[in-house]
Amino acid sequence: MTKKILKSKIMIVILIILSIFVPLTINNVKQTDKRTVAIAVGIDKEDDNYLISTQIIVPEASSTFNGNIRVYSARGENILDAIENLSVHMGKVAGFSNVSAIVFGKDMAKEGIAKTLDFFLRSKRLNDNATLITTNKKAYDLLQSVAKIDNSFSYSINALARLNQESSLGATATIESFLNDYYSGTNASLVGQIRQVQDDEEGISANNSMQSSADGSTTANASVQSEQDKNNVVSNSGYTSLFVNGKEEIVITPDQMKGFNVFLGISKRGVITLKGISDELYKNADVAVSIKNKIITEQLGYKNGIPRITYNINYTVQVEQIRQNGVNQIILDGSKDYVTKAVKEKLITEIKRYAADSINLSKQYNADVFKAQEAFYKYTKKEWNNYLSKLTDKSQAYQNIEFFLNLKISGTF
Amino acid sequence: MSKQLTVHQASVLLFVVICSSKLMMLPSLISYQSANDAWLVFLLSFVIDFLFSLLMIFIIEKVDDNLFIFLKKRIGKVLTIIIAILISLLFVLKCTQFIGENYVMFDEKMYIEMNKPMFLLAIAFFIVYLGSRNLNSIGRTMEILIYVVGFSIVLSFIISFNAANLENLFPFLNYGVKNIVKNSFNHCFWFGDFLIMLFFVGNVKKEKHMHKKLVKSYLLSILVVMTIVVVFICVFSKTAPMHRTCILDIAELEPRLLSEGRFNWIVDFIFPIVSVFLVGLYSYCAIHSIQFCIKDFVKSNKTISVLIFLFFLAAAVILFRFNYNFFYDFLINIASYYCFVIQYLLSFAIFLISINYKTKLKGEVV
Repeated sequence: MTKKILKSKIMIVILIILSIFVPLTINNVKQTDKRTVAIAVGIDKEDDNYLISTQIIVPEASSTFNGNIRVYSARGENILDAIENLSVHMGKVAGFSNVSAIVFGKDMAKEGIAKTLDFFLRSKRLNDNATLITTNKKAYDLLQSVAKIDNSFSYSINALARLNQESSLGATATIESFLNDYYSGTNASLVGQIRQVQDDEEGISANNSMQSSADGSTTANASVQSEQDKNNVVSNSGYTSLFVNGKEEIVITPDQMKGFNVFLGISKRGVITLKGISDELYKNADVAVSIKNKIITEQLGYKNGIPRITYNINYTVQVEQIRQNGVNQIILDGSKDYVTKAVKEKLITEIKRYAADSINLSKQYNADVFKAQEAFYKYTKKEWNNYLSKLTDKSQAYQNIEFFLNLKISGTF
Repeated sequence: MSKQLTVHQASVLLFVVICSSKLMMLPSLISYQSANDAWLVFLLSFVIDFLFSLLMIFIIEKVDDNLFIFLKKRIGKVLTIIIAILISLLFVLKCTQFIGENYVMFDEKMYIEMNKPMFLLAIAFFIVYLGSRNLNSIGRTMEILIYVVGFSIVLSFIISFNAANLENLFPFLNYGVKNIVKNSFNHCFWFGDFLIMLFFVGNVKKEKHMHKKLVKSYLLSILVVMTIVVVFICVFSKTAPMHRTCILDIAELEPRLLSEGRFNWIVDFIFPIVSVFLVGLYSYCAIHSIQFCIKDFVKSNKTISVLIFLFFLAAAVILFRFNYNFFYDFLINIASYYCFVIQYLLSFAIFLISINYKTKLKGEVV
């Protein structure tokens, strides 16, 4: 038997491989002893330091559904330093490849997030699909609050952000989309904001009695003093951060976002309340119209060398609720076309008003979130370069672009 | 002649080689210099490669002998040995390059601290084994691997297609024709898969529709690679150069799948493994070229050929300090000229030599 084995070259090779690699392998410490699995990361700026917080999955049996989530944090002079310190705190290397949400605290967002994201993407520490979120306070506090609510923070956040955008409130961005905007030359992005407010406001309470024993989230790191108050509420109501050149310039309200989302193709649903409609069907009525679908096309052109972009948008809408003379009219059958001429005209006026406000706001901050400049460059490169050559300050190219909006409203039952 | 490849095996081998060698780091490397025109660089290189592959198929059909036996008969021993040395050096470099890409994939995706010497040792064992086997052994393995390769390509496509924005391909010729031609030349090292077909000469059983099957295989692999490259550019756009492992990165697009299913692991494991077989195939080509050079002087020429090959491979790895960036700079700035001469000029010269070749003698197996 031994002779047979020793005569076979392949067997000798296998024996050599086994004798070298088996001892190495069995002496290796298992990876779960050396690495943690983070599902969300929070980044804050504190004076000259960065504070990195992570929600870590602790793979052990727990009496509460969210007992497997702990929040750890550490400070450092730069992001890498903070990550290394975090690993030292935890006694394990912080593994971020399963992170699907990154929260930026208020100060961090103001300072700028593009370089941090670039670092994460280039160093392959994160997957590039993590959803970006800003918050109006500290990211650390938001992670703590959410750990008490839900042990799958990342799924909830992704779902919320995406639904917001579809329903014309808010916006969502991933690392990938943010950096693409940042490097595209338009330099502007919209990032959804999850706010931390008081419990008399709308949102999800982070103080649910069922989760009060979430020891991991409260005891995991004594080095950071939480600012959150006990009645903290996590609110996702459509506030959105407008980033220009990687820095947060302004927080856009949900109403303003309706205007931005008029031009953004992904948003297809929403509700607009029209007040004081009067015609054959309505008498000074408040009509709640829901947008069921939206088809948007763009036309690029130039007039006297000035670029102009015309949006042709077809809305399909449905009247959902009518309040007439202080009484809710509840019978909405298919026998009448509730989307009357007056409703259409009022709707067009309202949408145009939202849209004009958003264009003005975007021009005020030189934030081409509609990617108009990119579209002109892609499809009319020669004319666009001619236009740019005539400008003394090319960074102001967006300011002169003319926007036109053609709306068509169709009713559905 | 029972150790010859079947036409099916040859076609499968071509498909796997073309797909796996182009879909790892190349799209990212090219898009760094050509941005959204990267797909045009691929297209230009593939058109040239396809034309050359037709020449190679002509040689395969016409010549019954092994490549070096055929060359020896036509141009003499000394010139043939020189050609064999030149070809073997090219394949040593190709092996080094794919080992580098393989390392990057394992290092980035498997998420472990990899010990470089141990990694190279494991690869060396693999090379020794595959490189010293016959071509039909590799062919048989590829016949099994093609299913998993095909499955992982389809899976990557399904996951990523929805996120692809075709507008990202515009404007065409963003950096001009010169940029495309220049990058096609700089990256010619990653192309020229028809060179493998030189080793099919005398090693493929001649069957009905051989020409058609090989052409189909080449065209299909070009189509697959072009599709994935276009999707890659459409998905990542400006950040494409940051995504160093194309086929693996596009499989990680869907956050829900990442959190719940991690289907991307299928792709993450298959492509590094396939690329190891690719290294094995290139090492076969290098080892057999070296073997031809020394077989008249050394008795156990196969073992010595393997050792010489490993020596050059180790020298290349040490010379570039285990660093893929240094090696990449060398490949696009210096090796591309050498590669161009061997891949295109030498191949064309071999084609010219084969045109008037009429005698079909039973050749010896090297």
